Amino acid sequence: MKLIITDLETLPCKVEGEYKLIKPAGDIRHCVGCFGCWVKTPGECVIRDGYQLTGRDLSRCGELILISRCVYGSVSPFVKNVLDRAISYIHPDFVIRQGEMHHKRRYDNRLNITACFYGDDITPAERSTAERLTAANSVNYDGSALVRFFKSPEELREVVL
Amino acid sequence: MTALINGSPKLSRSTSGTLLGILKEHMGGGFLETALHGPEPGDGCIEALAGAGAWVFAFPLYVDGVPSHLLSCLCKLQSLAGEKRPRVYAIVNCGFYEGEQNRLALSVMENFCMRAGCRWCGGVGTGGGGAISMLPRVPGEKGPLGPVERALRELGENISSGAAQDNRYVTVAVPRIMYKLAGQMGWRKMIKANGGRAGDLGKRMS
Repeated sequence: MKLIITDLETLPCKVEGEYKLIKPAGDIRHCVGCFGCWVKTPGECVIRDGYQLTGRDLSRCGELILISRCVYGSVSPFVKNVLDRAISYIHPDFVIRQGEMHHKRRYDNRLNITACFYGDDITPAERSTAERLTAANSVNYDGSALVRFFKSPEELREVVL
Repeated sequence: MTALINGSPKLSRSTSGTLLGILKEHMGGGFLETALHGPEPGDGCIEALAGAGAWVFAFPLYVDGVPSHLLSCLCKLQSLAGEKRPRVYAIVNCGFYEGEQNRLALSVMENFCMRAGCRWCGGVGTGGGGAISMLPRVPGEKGPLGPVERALRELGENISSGAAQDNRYVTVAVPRIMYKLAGQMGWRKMIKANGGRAGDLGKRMS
């Protein structure tokens, strides 16, 4: 299964196969750093606003697709919020991976991340940051990463993910 | 005037607050404190930032980058930053051992400055964030917090003199294996305090 997280109201591209879509719907609260998803309700965020099970959703997919406006080289606040709220996908314990400390896996699935950033004036510096951030995410998730850039959501119309 | 901005989502007892506390010791006067704990900058914060020539953000690393609530605030402060053109500094802390893991959050802050048209003046990325508020301070910038204290003193001096600096990466003076083991003991203690068992830390949701 594919998990798609986007800040767009409507999915602009075609998707092959089964997928779950997370897009802006109602209010989403931000992570408050309580670590409740690790030590109170392991595997699930303690904030019950409809976005508490994204960590579990990540465990059910082989591909994580991010479709997001590029904001200073990061994904946009909504997409980042969903990711911040999903750290229960990983285990709190540490491992050393590629010479740096990261978190242990909670689940066995391997996540391939495809990040589609859109924006008509993404700077070279933002582009570089976005590429390195997605690569860092893939190391944290112990998966792999592919980054693509588009001028606008409309440019994704011909894309099949 | 320098604005010290606590960008942690925690209202109290945050590592960002501890780091700003150390920084303040090297700032002399001429600073004010404000906070961005949620996705909307409050009126008081906007007023404080509008009157400050330097903005110093302190925040935790979330998923390799800037926490979503602070990213939201940056979007809303971009025009003010463009209008007032402050010097911008940042202190980022992460729970991993290596301070270098904060490099991309500092890149995002630099990109914010480029887009807003204000001056990025560099920052500090510190690892060992899970221990910073618990470790003892030893006079003379010695002891386990010494490297962090030195980096913050240098940052404070640069802020006070209006200078820019290269990003500096530090961590606590504790062996990585000790930090890792202490962290993992901490998670077990916390889950037990919440009525769970150590084995529940690895629970899988079906």
